[in-house]
Parts: sequence; C-alpha cells; structure tokens
Amino acid sequence: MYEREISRTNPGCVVFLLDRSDSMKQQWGNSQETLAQGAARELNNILLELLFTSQGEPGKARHYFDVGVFGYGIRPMAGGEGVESAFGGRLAGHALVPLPELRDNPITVREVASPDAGAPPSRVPIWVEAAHGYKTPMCQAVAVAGAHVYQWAASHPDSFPPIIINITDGLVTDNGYEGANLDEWAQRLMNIQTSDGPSLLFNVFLSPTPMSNGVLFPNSDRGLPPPGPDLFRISSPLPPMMLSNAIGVGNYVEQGARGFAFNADSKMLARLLEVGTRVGVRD
Amino acid sequence: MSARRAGPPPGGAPDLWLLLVAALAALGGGLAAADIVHAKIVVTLVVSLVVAAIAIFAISRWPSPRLELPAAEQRPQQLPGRPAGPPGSRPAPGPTARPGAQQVPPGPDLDGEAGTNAVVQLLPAQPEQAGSDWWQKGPVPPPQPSAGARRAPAPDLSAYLAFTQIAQCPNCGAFGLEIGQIRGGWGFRCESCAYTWAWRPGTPWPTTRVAPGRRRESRPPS
Amino acid sequence: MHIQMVTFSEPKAGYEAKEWQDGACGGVISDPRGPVSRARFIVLDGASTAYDPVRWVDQLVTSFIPAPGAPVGPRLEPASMRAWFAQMQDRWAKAGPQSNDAIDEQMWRDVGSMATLLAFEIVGLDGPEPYWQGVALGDTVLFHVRDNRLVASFPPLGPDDFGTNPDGVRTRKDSLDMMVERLLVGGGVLADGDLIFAATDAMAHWLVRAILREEQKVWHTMAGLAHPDVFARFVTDQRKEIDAAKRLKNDDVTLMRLRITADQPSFLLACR
Repeated sequence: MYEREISRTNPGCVVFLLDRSDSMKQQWGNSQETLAQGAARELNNILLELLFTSQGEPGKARHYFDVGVFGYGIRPMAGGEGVESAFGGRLAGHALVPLPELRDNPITVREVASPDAGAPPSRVPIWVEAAHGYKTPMCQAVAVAGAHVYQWAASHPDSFPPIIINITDGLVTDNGYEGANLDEWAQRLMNIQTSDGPSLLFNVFLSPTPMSNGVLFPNSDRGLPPPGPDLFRISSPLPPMMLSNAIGVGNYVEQGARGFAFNADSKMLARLLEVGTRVGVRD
Repeated sequence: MSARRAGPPPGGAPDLWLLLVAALAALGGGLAAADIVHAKIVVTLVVSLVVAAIAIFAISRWPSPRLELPAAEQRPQQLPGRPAGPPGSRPAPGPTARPGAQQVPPGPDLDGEAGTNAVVQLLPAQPEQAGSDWWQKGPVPPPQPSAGARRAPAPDLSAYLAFTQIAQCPNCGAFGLEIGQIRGGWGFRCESCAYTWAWRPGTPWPTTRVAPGRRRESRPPS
Repeated sequence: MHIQMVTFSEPKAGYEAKEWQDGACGGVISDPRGPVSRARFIVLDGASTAYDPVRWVDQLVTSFIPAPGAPVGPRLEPASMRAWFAQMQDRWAKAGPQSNDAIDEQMWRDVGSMATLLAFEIVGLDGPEPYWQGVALGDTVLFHVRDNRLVASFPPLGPDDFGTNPDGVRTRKDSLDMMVERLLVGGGVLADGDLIFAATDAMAHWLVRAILREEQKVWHTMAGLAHPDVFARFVTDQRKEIDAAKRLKNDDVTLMRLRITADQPSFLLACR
C-alpha cells in the first residue's frame, strides 16, 4: 500500500480544505499576517513546490497531479456561507485542476522582496487569496470535496490514493451535516480508495498565538486540548514513505505518527504540507 | 531483388512431406508456447491447427522463392572469419580470396533473407577499392573440405564483436545510417539527423555523442 | 591499443527519446602533432526534479569534450575540476532561465539544475600499458571488466548505495565547495580485451545487483549487445521483472561500452 509512483500515466490527487471562517482574521503569532493570509501564502508555496517537482522542459509542467483547494466559511464568489473552490481568476469555480493548467493560470504574479540584500525581488504566482467570514462548515467541506475525490479515484484506479489536507483554526460548526458528524464524514472520505490503498486525510490546527506546545506528527492525542483529539482521530497515519521523508527533513516522528499538526505555527504548517505532498515521482 | 511470384505453381501438387513438416512444426510450436505461457491445451491445439492450415495453404499457394541475381552481380557468399594468429597480427584474408585480389563478401544476413530485410549488415572494415577488376574474376568455387576434416562448433557470435566497430552517428548517437563506399573507406549519412561523415580503417571512430534531441523523429513512447 | 566504443540508451518508459536527460559523449582525442594516445569520455544523469537538466547536461558535455579547435576541457584532478565547475556555474548564471515565466525564474534561482557526473580518460593508447583515470560525483558508475570478471568499479557503490539524492554537479554557486569536497578520483591499468562500461544509476544499480547473482553471464551479455533494439528489449524485459530485487528501475538508461583491443577492428557493423 502507498507504494505506487506518481507518473503521467497514473497522476496523483492532492486536495486542500481551507478554513475561511471569520476567526481566520486573527493575527498569526508575531507575524504581520492574519491566519487567513498566512495559510493562503503557505498554500501558494506548496502549489509552487508541486510545480517544481513536476517541471518538464522550461515553461511546462508534467501532469503529475490534479489539485483542488476548497474554501469553507465565506464564499467570496457565490456569496454567503458554504463551500466553494478557492481558485480564482481563470480557474474560478474549477474543482480539480491538472498541474499544467494550474501553472498557466495563476490569479496574478506578485513581487516579493528577496531575503538576500541586494538581490532582485522574486515574482511569486498566486492561486489562492486570503478570505475570512461566517462560521466553520467543515463537514460540508468534506462532503463537497469528497464527491470530487470519489470521481477522481474512480477514474484513476491505479494511482497513488488521494491526499486531502484540512487547514483549520476552529471547531466544526456543522456537525450533523446531512445526518452525519465529522467522524462519519471523515470516514466516508477515507473509504475512497484506489488499488494502492485508502485516501489519506491530514489535519492542521492553526494557532493564532505562538505556542511552545505545538505538536507535529504525534502518535497519540495524549494531552491535546479540544479540538485536538477530534482532529487527531480523523487524521490518517503517515505511510512509510512519508514517515521516512518526515525523518529525512529533521522531524522527530515515531511509529504510528499521524498526518496531524496541532497549534501549528507557519513553519509547522509548511512542514506538514511538504511531508504530506511528497510522494514518489518517477525520476 | 527477390523474385517471388504470386499464383499457383506451374504444375504438380505441393510436396506432402513439406506439408506434414509444417503441420508438425505448428503443433509443436503451439504446445511449446502453451508450456511457456500456461495456455489451456485445448486452445493451444486449436490455434496450432489453424496455424498449420495457414502454413499448408501458403505452401500450396506459393512456389519456393528463388533469389535470382543478374549474372554480373553473382558473387560468393562468405562469412567473415578470423583465423587464429599471434597477438598483434593482422587478420589473414578469407579462405576464398585469390592472392592479390580483394574480395568483398556481403556478410551474413542474420534473419535469413538477403537484401532489404537485414537486421545488421557486417561489412569489412577495408572496403573494396573502386576500379578493381572484379568483373573479370568470375565465380569462385567454394572451398573443398579437406579429407577427414571435422566440423568444429561455430564460435559464439559475440566473439565477432571483438573485431567489430559498431557504427553510430557521432552527432546524435543514432544507429540508422546510410552507408556508401568512398576512396579508402566508408561514407555515412545519419537517417535521424542528416549528419554526414567519413571513416577510414586505421583511424579512430569520430568522437560520438548521444543526443536524442538532435534527431528529427523520436520513437513513440513505449 | 584501440578503442571500440558504442553507447546504448533508452528513455524512461512512457517518455519520448528527446526527454532523455542523460548525457554521453566520448572518443579519441585527435592530436595532429603525433600519434593518437588518449581518449576522453563523459556520462551524466540530469536530475528530473531540477531546472532544465537537459540544458545543463548539454552545457557540461559540450565543455568537457569540445569540438576540434575549441579549448580543451579540464584535467581530471580536483583543482582543475573546481575551476571548471565554477566556470560552468558562471556560464549558466549568465545564460539565465529559458523564459520570463515567473515559475521558471523561481525554479532557476531557488532549485537550480543538477547532474551526476562520471568523467574519465584513457591514456597511453600508444604504449604498452594504457590506463584509465577518472572523476565522479554521484551514482553514475564505471565498471572495468576483464575475462567476464569485475576488476574495479568507480565509484565503488554497493547495492544499497543507490538513492534518490545523489551527489552531482550543481548550478548553485553555494554548492561549489561541497562538490569539490565530494569529488572522487580513481584509475586502473588496462589490457588487451578489457571492457569498460559506464552506466547511469538505473543501469549501474541493476549491474551491481545482477553480478552478485551471476557475474560471468551478466558481463558476457553486456559485451555481446550489438543492436539498439536488442538493448531496448533487454531494458523493457528487466523493467517488467516481477522480483523487485532484480528489476531495472524505470528511469533513463545509458550504457557506454568501450572495448580495448590491440588490433584495429576488422569489420564495421551497421545496424538496421
């Protein structure tokens, strides 16, 4: 299980569930950003990393992944509260987007100052913008994304299983959505599988204040305050390859470690995203 | 070059012994294949009989092929050989060469058919010089085996590679080449990148680079 | 002594030949002042997760084995190789990314390009004891074979030494010291009938494992390859091997074969 290599014949699927509830407007630790801005920035970074991994000849990406970002809370496009694709620009409304199409259609390209003195600014493509408002319909997000993931898995039976990463700062407010609670919705999502195994669901709980008790890749929920145990319970264990990757980039992980980060700051979010999306690409 | 003609043979039934051999060969091949791929025996027998029927039809339909060359082009077929000699010695000429003459054997056709369908073409490093009077030599009789001569097992084909330069395009590394004789050597044109060059025995093969991006047509992905 | 050279290559399954990211080049260096005495070879494996590895490999090959009349490439010793690495990085930096594309720019700057390197010479071809000498960074391997037995491999990698993050020649200037520090140097004496194989990592890894099981047969088979379609078939078959321990990894494959002979070749083999 979880051994299939990503290739153009058998691309992978990575879906992000992005909390866009009103509480995401809080400042993130000591940074100048809100939780929403920081999460959007890290998402854009990881999408860029996926493009780096999939680079073919210059200017082109190989179709190694189909990618989706579903925002839940405010719906900037449709209005009101709910779930919608967080892609903007020409990809607005698109659910799962092949990487080559993602590459060609950022919302915009922004100049960002280089950390190196005297170096020219970087031009950074943006696919997801920050937004916040309303409550936290996490179950509905899982339901909406799950429909697309299900169809994708049916069309790609021999691919590496879909990876879904949920980024949130709060408690779910729609437990019991269509008669099922978050545990049940999560289980439905993880029941979607390919011939290489069940889907992987990872969760990141963001903290607005810098915490010394941030936890990354735990193997138990001992000592975690709410909603830690709930989110831990619905987080998949890291498959062996991701476990090795996590160790390889300097994380302390034990057997049974799950794809979960609690009270995460910006660095922890980046690490989980990096480990959670690094699967074997044919080299 | 080949002179296959369609239509029934001029007369007579096909050779019954050949028909039997064809049928047995098809059946044997099918059963052997069944062993390799674990096919069901029933399916194998049916397939073998169909193959045998096709073979029988083909044999009865087509005459034996006769490869007829114009008389002027007839020359003895000869496999290149390397008689043992002391290290560093030059290879001796082939057994059918006349003293003072340079014969150019066309080389073996590894798939059993002369001319257009050859998989490889083995050429002597030193080609025949233009202007030699080969047309005056006439046909050379095959060598007579010496009394009491025994057949020695043929050497492993890979042994020939020890004395063989494999032609490869220096510009792109492709192997499909057009080859022609030039004074003292061979001229080449790569079928993939159109690069041309010459090579003369006694000189090193040109520096060769494998660069598929330089070829005009790529093989489709496997 | 004379060298009979042939290089077989196959792209990854599912990829076109022009997407092949290895590099291979070599031959006898012409010296109009005297007899032919040495030959120079380079085999590279561009990292597919790097930026434009095909262009980086092309730049390295063209510089290491230049066209006649162009400046000679580096000597195969650390100081000269360091200068060459720096020159290559400068040339790459001046050329810049291939497009104005923001993503290309970022990748060109932050990720850069990389290729594993095996570069060697055969020296003393006009003498009684020619020898090979080489440098290596990464997991492209030279195998020196005599009478179907391995004399030496360079670098001396074992079956467990092939990973996904090998050393290599990188475009980022902050990697220069590390590259020189990790550069390996090796050599060996050659005799009539010896074979040298240079293989990129997938093929090298397969050879290292296969010779543990049946060494003579492996070298005999490699020595007998004479047609690119036969090599392609061999690669396809080994990629499909059920036993993972014996399987050839699906990656670009390059196998350069050099045969050292006392005599010039008697025949020319043209593949159809």
